[in-house]
Parts: sequence; structure tokens; C-alpha cells
Amino acid sequence: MKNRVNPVSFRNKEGLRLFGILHGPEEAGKTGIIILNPGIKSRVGPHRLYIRMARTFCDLGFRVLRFDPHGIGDSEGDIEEGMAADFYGTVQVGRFVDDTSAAMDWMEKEFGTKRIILAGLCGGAITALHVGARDMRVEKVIGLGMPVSLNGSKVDPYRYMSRGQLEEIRRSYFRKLERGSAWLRFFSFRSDYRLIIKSLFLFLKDSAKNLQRWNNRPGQTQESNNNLNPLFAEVFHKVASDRRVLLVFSGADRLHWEFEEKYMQNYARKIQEFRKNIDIHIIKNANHILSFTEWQDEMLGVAISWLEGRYANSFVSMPH
Amino acid sequence: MNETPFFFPNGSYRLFGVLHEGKEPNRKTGFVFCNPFAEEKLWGQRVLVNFARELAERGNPVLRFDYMGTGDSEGDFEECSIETKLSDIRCAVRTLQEKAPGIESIGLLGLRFGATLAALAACTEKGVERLVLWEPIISGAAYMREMLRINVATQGAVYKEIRYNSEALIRMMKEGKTVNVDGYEMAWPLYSQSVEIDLPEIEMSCEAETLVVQISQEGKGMNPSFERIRPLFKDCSLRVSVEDTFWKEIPRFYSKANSLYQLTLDWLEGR
Repeated sequence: MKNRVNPVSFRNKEGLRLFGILHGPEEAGKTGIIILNPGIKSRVGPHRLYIRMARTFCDLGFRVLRFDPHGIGDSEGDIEEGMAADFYGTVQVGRFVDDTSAAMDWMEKEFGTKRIILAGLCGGAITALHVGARDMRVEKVIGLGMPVSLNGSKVDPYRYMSRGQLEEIRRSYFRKLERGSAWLRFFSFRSDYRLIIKSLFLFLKDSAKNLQRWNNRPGQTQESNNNLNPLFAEVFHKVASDRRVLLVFSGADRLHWEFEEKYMQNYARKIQEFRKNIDIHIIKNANHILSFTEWQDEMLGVAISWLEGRYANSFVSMPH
Repeated sequence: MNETPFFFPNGSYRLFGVLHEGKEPNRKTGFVFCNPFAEEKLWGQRVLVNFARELAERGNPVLRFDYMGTGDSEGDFEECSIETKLSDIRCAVRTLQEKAPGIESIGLLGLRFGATLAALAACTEKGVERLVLWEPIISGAAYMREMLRINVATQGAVYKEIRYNSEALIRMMKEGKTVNVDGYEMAWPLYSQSVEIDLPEIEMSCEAETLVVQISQEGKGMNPSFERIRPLFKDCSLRVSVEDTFWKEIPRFYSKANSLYQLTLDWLEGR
């Protein structure tokens, strides 16, 4: 099949111009795929992995968009973080959600694409979950090397939360006021005071100043907690509760073990509620970026069969 | 600032490029940027993008592009060679001349192996009057040894043993197979042509005014091998810029290299 490949650009919420490449099959289906950049690396992905993915998905009849979010690759904007780990941390809490929404809006406006599959490696995978949790246009998620931890020491995990999310959290805190166990938790220093304050301060006119002072107070670090991303379970549950999620992990990658130990072991009962929607595949020996061709082939083979509905639900056999 | 992404043909394949133009492209020199090798391009991309913007704001049109089989350009990495890369640079120069007809001369700017390729292209391409080489690779053979070591190290990490040493990998390429370097499948033409490159021994001379920048930590003296390439160029300035190795994965997030930018701009202004 001859696919058309063209450069495109669109603007994000801040008016910054984002650049991308669109892979268009001769006859595209109603669902599109957006491949989300992995972190610092641009829309081509490590060793052009995303080009292989885009060509493969396009051959299946999907219109595929790869784009650079702000401050990355060719796109406009800057990244203010001085350390890569702090930058990764901001991606893990949703830095590129709005840019991805802008990409989805563009696909809808240009082609009427109302259903989107989001795919990505590492930072792209977690971005896909954040977007899926907020936007029902996201039909499925393909996450490669899904990170559950939070990098960096200066990351405000709630910085990119939407107003709606914060409102919901604020309401949940008010509901808990009648429960003695909630007060016990509060006074035994086990509550997330930062989130409580952020959600309660939302409607105060001077909240921005207060939050900035709070976030920038001396000595504030993420290490005071364990480094499980406090938003991961929420967004993962939200997406996987009613949409299919394919997770592909590399066997030699710590992210695979982190997912099992930090997330699955702690949420084993919760996962049972939507296990039918989750497929997990582990590529033996593979490294994080799937550098060997046979690992890429295996990942693409799994993705193809999953997209075509031929992939047998693998989660049932997963060790819990 | 106008930034135009586009594909342009080089023979049977299309190359991807971005043309950066300031609001008043009033300078006579347009620049073509030559990317470094494989993954180094991705780590260093933002530094190159921001310098392209800096030059464009000053009135110099800039074309950044991807060689065949790299970035967003067509083709696969295993198909590329030094020949195809030099052909791509020449094609990019012609394309810039077409897209920015006001320019009278061409400057080539390269990083690492891209600088090496820029130097080779400048020796043969007419109209190249400025050449900026950021931390050029002097010996292709030494650089390729490093690349093969990446494969060997990956084998050790994955299989807990070395199944193919460097000699075996070279043999495999010679027999028509490819060797994986950080995910890129390298074939014999690229390998064999790369190891032939030894800048000080090249029997050519380059007419372009040339700036060679060593990028290193504070307090490091000039690398003697950079001194050895000086005779290749008719007019050559050597400088040291203190920056991190932003073409690799490093702890800092590197989107701009301000001291390198300033040094390069000062040299360009002084010409």
C-alpha cells in the first residue's frame, strides 16, 4: 500500500506552533492513531522506532500523526527545567496533555477523526493515560515501557491537573469530613496535604500566589514520599475501566518490575474490576528502547494483532 | 520568524527539512546544518534548532534537514552511506539556494560526525564560503570502533556474554548483514566508507573560512588532533567552548548552548 507522508503543523492552547508528520493511507478508517514522543526525544522516537510504528499502523489503514510537543524537536516553546530528571517528572504528571489534546482537535478538524488510539514509549505512554483519563475521544492506549514512578526532585505532581480534576478532589475531601478515619489519617500525617491545599485553594482569588509560595518552599522534595507517581493509579483506572489498554514491557527494563511491584501488588483487587480490558506483553531480554530489531518486530507483531482484535487477553495469566 | 517544514527530492527519495527565515532575511549567507550520527542527532537536536532560530533572527536563512534513512527523511538507515550523506548535503545546499534566492553564499554548520561530513562537502561543493565545525570527528575509524563497542556492550547487558566481538561484527557487515548500533542497523557501505575518513590525511583543500570548535569541560586544552586538521583549510580558526556533551544523554536538560552560540556568532560577525 502506498502511504502519503506529509509535514503538518498546528497550534496548542498557548498559541505555540507544533510540528508533526502525518502518515495517511489511501483509505483511512474512522479511528486515527497519535504516537506521543517519549520525553526529550522528538517525534521520530529512539532509533526511528516511531517511523516503523507509523508505517506499520498506516499499512493497517490508520491515519497516523507523530508530533513534537512544545519545547521538543522542531516545535516552538521552551523547557524551563534545567535537569532532565525534573523535566521527565513533569511529563509523568501530564506536561504534554494539552498539546496532545490540540493534536486530537487538529485530527478531528482536518479529517473528522473522533476516535483516537494513543500510543507511545515511556513518557509517551504515561501522557496517553493522562489524556485518556480526561478525553473520551481516546478509544485505546498502547503503552510501551509504561513508567509508574515519578522522576526528579522538583516536580509538583498536581501542576498539570485540570480544574475539573481538582474540583472532584475537593468534593471528595468534603465528603470525607464526616468520617472519623479520614480525620485520623489527617492528624497522623498520612494525608497528602499538598493536594488538599491545592484543591481547596483553587477558588481563592489569591490561590496562585499561595501555591507558588507553597510549591517553592525551601527543602520541598518528592523524596519525602515514595516515588510512585501519585496520579498513576487514578488515570490508569479511569482509562482501563472502560477502554482497552495494551502494555508492552521490555524484560530487561526496570519499568517492568516497577509496574509489578509498585503498582500491581498494591492495587491487585482494584485491577480485577477491569482486567478484561488490560493486555500485558513482556518482550524477553529487551531493553527500554527496544533497540534490537527482533524486539521491535515482536512489539509490532503484538500491536498489530491487538489492533486487529486477534490478541488473546493475556492478563489472566499474569502473576499477581 | 517563518519556519517551513517540507520534503524535497534527492533522486529517488525525499529528504525532510525545515527552513528557518527571519522577518528580514538580509544576510548574504544562508546556512545548511549537518546533523550528527544516529542517536546523537536526537540528543543534540534542540541545540541545533535554537541556533538555527538565532541565525534566522539575525537575517541568515537556515535549512536543517535529515539525511536519507534518518529522522523524518525517507529510506532506511541501512541504505545510507557516506556517499548518500554527501549527496544529501549537496542537495540541501541546492534546495536552500532555490528557497532563499537572496543569498549569495553558503555556510555549512555541522556537529560531531555532521561536522566531518560538512568539511568533506565543503572541499568539493562550490559556493561554500563559511564552515563551522562543532566538535568534529577527526578519525572515522576511531569513531566506528566506538559505535561497534555500543553493540558489544548491549550484547553483554542483554545476553550476559559477548557473542560477537568487533571483528566478528565487521565480518558480518562485509558478508551483507547489518549491525545494530543503538537501534540503528548499520550496513557495510556506511561502515567501510566511514573508517576511510581521516581528516588530517585528506588530499583536498577547503577554500571556506572555517571555525573549528572544541566542546569540552572547563580547563581542558586544545585537542592536538584539531590542530592537525588546520592545514586542510585555507583559513581556519580554532576555539574552545565550555559546554556539556549535549549530543549524549546527560543529567542536564540541554536546549541551548549559550557559550557555543556566542563564540560562533562572534566569529561569524568578525568575518
